[in-house]
Amino acid sequence: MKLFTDEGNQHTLKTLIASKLSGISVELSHVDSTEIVVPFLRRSVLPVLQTDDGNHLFSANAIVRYLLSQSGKDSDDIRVTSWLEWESTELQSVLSSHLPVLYGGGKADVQNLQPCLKKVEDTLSGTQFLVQDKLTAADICVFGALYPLYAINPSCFEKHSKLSSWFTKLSSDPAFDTSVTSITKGKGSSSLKASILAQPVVNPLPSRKSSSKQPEEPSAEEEVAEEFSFEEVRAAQETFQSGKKNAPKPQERHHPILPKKGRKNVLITSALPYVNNIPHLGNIVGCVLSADVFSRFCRLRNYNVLYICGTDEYGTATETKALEEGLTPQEICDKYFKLHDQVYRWFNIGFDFFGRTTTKKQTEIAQDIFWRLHKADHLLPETVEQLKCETCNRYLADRFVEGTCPLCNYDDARGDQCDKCGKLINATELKNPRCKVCNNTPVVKSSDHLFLNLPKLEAQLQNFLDESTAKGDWTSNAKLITSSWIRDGLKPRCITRDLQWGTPVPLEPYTSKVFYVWFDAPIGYPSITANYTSQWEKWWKNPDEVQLYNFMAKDNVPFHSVVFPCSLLGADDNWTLVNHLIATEYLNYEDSKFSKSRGIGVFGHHAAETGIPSDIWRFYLLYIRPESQDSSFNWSDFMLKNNSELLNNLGNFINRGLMFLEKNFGGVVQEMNLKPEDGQLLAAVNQELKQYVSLLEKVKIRDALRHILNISRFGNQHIQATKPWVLVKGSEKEKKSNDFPPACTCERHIPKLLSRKVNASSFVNRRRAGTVTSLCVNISCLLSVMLYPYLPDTSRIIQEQLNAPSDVNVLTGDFFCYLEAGHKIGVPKPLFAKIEQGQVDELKKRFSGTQKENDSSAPPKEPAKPSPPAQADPDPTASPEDIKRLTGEVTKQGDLVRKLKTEKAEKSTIDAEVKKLLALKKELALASGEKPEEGKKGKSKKEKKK
Amino acid sequence: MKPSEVENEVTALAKYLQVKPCKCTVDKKSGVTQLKHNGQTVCGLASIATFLVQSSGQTSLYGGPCHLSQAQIQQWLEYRVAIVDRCLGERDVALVLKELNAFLQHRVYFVGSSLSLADLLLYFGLYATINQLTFQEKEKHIHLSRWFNNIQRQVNLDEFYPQLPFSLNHLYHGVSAH
Repeated sequence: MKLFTDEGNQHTLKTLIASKLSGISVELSHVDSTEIVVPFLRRSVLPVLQTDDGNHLFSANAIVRYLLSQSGKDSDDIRVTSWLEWESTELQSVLSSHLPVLYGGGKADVQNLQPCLKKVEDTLSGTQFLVQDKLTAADICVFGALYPLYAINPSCFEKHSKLSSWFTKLSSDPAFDTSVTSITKGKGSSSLKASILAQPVVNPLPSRKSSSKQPEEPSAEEEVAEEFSFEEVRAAQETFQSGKKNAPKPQERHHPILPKKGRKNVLITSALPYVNNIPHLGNIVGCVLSADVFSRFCRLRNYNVLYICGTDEYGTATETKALEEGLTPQEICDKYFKLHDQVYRWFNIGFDFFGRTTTKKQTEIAQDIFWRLHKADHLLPETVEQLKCETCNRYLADRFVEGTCPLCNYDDARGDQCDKCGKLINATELKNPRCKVCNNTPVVKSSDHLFLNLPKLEAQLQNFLDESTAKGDWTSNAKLITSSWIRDGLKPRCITRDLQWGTPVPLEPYTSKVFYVWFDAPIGYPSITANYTSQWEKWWKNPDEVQLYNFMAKDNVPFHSVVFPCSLLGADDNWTLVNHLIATEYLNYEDSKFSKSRGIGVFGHHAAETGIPSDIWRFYLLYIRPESQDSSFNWSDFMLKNNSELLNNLGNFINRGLMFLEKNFGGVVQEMNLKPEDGQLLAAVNQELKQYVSLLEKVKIRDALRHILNISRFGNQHIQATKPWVLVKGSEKEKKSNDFPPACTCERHIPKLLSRKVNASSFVNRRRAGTVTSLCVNISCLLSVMLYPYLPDTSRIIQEQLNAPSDVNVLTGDFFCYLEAGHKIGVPKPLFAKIEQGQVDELKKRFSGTQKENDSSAPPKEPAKPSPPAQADPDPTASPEDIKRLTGEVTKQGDLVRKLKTEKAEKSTIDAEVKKLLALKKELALASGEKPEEGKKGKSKKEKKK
Repeated sequence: MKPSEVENEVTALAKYLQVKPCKCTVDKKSGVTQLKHNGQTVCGLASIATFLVQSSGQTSLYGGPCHLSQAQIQQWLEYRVAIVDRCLGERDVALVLKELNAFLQHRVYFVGSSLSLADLLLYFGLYATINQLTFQEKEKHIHLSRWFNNIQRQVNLDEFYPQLPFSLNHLYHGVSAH
């Protein structure tokens, strides 16, 4: 056994003593104090014992016990363990910072050591040794730890007599003595210095206060601790009072919206949801809702913005669903398109146009890009060997093939990966392959396909990415995923498939094939725009004047950052490429995944059915938007945020201001004579507003929302501090008199007021109340504008209640007074309602999956996967005839089972027929590219004939 | 660690070992955990854990008869209380994650080829940290994640330590672990 150590190491002293006492010799190997001996450690920890079989022990205390136990001299007593634990934690945390100071020549406060020394002293008052009146590892290790203290100052223990005599006694033991000499080489404390200074420090226990990471949100009751400078206050006041006249007016928007010279032209897309999938909250917040917030914000900034989205409709899944429901694929798409449209309308997603991919324009543009790629030689024809099951008459995708692994001979390897050895393989490499559905041996058949030559375009792509990611706002996860894809090495990717429902490939001999989904789907963005306006190229072939924002969930990133740009670069037609890629992480549901088949989570129309308004849903989803890491939708949290932030904070502030103005001033805004504290508030509001604007410019949607809530919080605090309800009380006498000051206390009425014998102070108080209230009403007006991207309905309602002019809907980063003295507001009403615990409990139960979901559609997958690539159909050529045949057989069998059940036939008979039915359903599911488990529930709602 | 966290851990361990949970307290001033059992007081979390294992008779969790395994377990328990529990900031934590990830590259368990007290205490001790990692960070420390996922499924102490999600898909594959 080898013991690696540096010179003069006190911990090695422990091990040498143990070595001597146990009679087991170790070979010393000297290394530098800073050397890292143990391969996986990142710090230099010495001594290290290396056993003959290559294991490392890097804890001196463990080494001591090991050596002792090898010679049968270790003790079982748990107190030994406790002492060693104490030594390595409490004692070392003091010593590892005390000793370097002491040995470095500085003044070390010996008071720190007292508790430790006292503990040893107290223990030794009853015994000779630390444990059990017998020498144990405890004595050795504590001795070794304390030795450096003694070495530099032999009288350091004099206050502790028992400790002193224990120490002296041990020192005189030959094992201890020779070990000490061995370490110090007779040179005393100076020999220990280098090692001590090089040793890693053991930290003290973290104090409870700072033990956790920074909490996500600031505490709700944070004071406006910041004092704003005179300049800041003055500037804020001036802007407020006189800025309105120079304020820009909101630009009118007329369709079709086209880029204009001299204006900032922003094109926003959100990942196209797959038509067949009912969107859930995760899909919604990740894509369309995020893009909507940004789009509305851009409108407030007077940017020339266009927001485009639509349903992605081609692919096998739609074909299958069509046969299942007895409709044509087009009819399926029409039906489900309406569903998506309805859901997004309910959520108030303000698309400028929500289209579809199954249009003539799609074919035109996709084929145009294709031809250009072909002419520029970016396409590679390749024969793809696929396994085809002749019995089932279809090409088998990887996961429908099983066989023997060619590498490790495991029997049950899957087509793309062996479960046993974990190596990635191709299905064609499997030995003894068999079709998962019918167990027959598939044959290898060749099919010709076209591949997009990504490697050839890599240099161009890299140039584009370097510029785009540097100049634009890409989320960090987007950049990381992209760079890891490229680092993995780009390979040519197949862009065709043997299918019917899709964009046809125009080149012979591939004309019976269609484009594969992730080549075709992103082309949906320009094609949908083309269906919106014939001048679509002004957006899509205009990189110099257009800023393109793509919104999506992180699993779609590679297709938007690598594949699609390569297609467009290869087509070489001055295409607008993505400038800003905004990708979200995953939204979980109550800490597990959304699952349609299991009824877990809130999908599509469910939200509308709860009776909770869409603005509240928007608020909460955006509050928990998964930006830097996954987040989770939580009903209790939903209720809490509604009741605390919306109701008690935001709603409360706006409502009390308006109500107060209505009740006490007849709903007329008063003159505002600002005092210093009002100025502070204005400066604070301005700061929050500016931060809000700059955050939203960078699409930091979640963070910006906080600033809205900050402003209303400051507003609430200001009202609490000034107490306008007290100010307007006036004296009893005045209340009775008819001459009580009129509602308006502006300058015109002063002579009238002064001519009466009115109490001057109550007059002043009333004016003060008027100022504060009117200021708050104006802040509410600002809030309504800031809320517009997040809660558009509420924003409109507030402005109605304020009777605010439409001019207010512009964001410059400055707070102007739009509602001046004399302005009459509308009728105030509460904006938000409380959500009760009972409501939430019931809703949580409803969506927790304990009830069976009746309609099956998408397979249970990760949230936020609207754009096709991630759920690409695995089965390239399920022929529709097969599917039709299977569907028929399933129907027949299903009817038979139902008949048997109604007739109350023999259980065994029913079971046998049910088994047949399940097997058929499985076949059908495989044929349509859905997960086998999906088939279970689907048949009950099948529409046979329209 | 907060007293409630320590209690949680000791109770979880006791449940796993199928011994009766005993009351443990945390001394306010020194932060030392203490366990009182049959008149005996055991101090220190690692010692308490060792004590519980010995009481349960499940010696396989403490290295069986092999002295080297026992020493290794002691070493890792020390690592847990002296280093993992005393991380002062992001850098310390990052270092710990790196070290453990490197160590676990070719190992299923920390000591030997079966579950030991070392795995258990490191699992408990790292739970809070790993709970806060993003999927990307989990993938960066892939060996540590693999070990953690293995342990959490094996010990199945859901009521004390709810299962943490790990993605089996490589989304950030290729990002170097340096």
